Amino acid sequence: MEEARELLSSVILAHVPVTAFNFRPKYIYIALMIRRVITAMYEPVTIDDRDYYGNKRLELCVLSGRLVSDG
Amino acid sequence: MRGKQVVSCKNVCIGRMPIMLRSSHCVLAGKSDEAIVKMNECPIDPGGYFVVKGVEKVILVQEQLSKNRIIVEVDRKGQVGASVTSSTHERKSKTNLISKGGRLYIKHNTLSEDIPVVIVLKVPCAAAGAGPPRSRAVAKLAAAAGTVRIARSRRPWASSRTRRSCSWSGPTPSSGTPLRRRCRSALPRAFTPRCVRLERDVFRTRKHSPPCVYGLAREGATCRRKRSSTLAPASASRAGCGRRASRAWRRRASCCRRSSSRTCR
Repeated sequence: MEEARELLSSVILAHVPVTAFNFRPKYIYIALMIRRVITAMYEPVTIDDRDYYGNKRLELCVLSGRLVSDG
Repeated sequence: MRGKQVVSCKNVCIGRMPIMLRSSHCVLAGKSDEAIVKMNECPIDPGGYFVVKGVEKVILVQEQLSKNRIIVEVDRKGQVGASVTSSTHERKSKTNLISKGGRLYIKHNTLSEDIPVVIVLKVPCAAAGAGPPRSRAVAKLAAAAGTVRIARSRRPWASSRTRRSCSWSGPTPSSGTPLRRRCRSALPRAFTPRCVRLERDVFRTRKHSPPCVYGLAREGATCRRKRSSTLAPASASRAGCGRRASRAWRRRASCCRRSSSRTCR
């Protein structure tokens, strides 16, 4: 049981913080996911596009060695 | 710092920064083609790169799918699911919410088996021992999702008879019905364990819902208002989560429960 709780609090949806085992924010997040899925079942327009630029995040190559020169 | 003394001085060179060609700070900015040719530069050169120690340098960007964002998509089996790649400074993980046979499960690398969502929603309340009864907690969350409220009952799994009466046998919605209603009738099926009894059409919202669900909860609020005017005029003034108010709510919920369990059988 402890293990399960630990897993839920820190591994699943790790970006939603759980302080002192207050799972409310996390559950609201899960509920939101549920809502989005159910909506998408009936309204396929709401399904996200993986290739859409709004769903992207642009990252630089952090290592300076990988900065490519074309000259 | 000199010893314990903080020393501040201005106009000290701390390094040099490359300037992107053709940017607003570049010498070529705003020049006409002729002027650029006169400077021995190519007028159709697009710029956007840097020159460092006489070498052209380009910064490459990588496209990645956003983290910490709910992406709803259709999987290989044609089922709708949501996935979130959570990332914090110390941990990265991907959580999936998948639907199997119209039911929702949580899927994660560390879990050998998929867990029904409702179980996940219920576990910690049970473990913590404090807080509202489990089914109520689940109810609140479902309400936060703006779809249904689950009837309040202390031990929905108490007897097999209860369980049987709780199983869902509502009509399958036709495609003509409005979206919200269709969602509402999908939810009881989506939550797997039969021990949780679901009430259709009963909505509840919390005064202090966080902004992210506020818009969703509001949808429920309008419905509740409608309902309370038809069902129980006395409790229509119910403002939020006061004790007195919730008692009235409970009464109302239980009367709904009775009416809908009839329809269930």
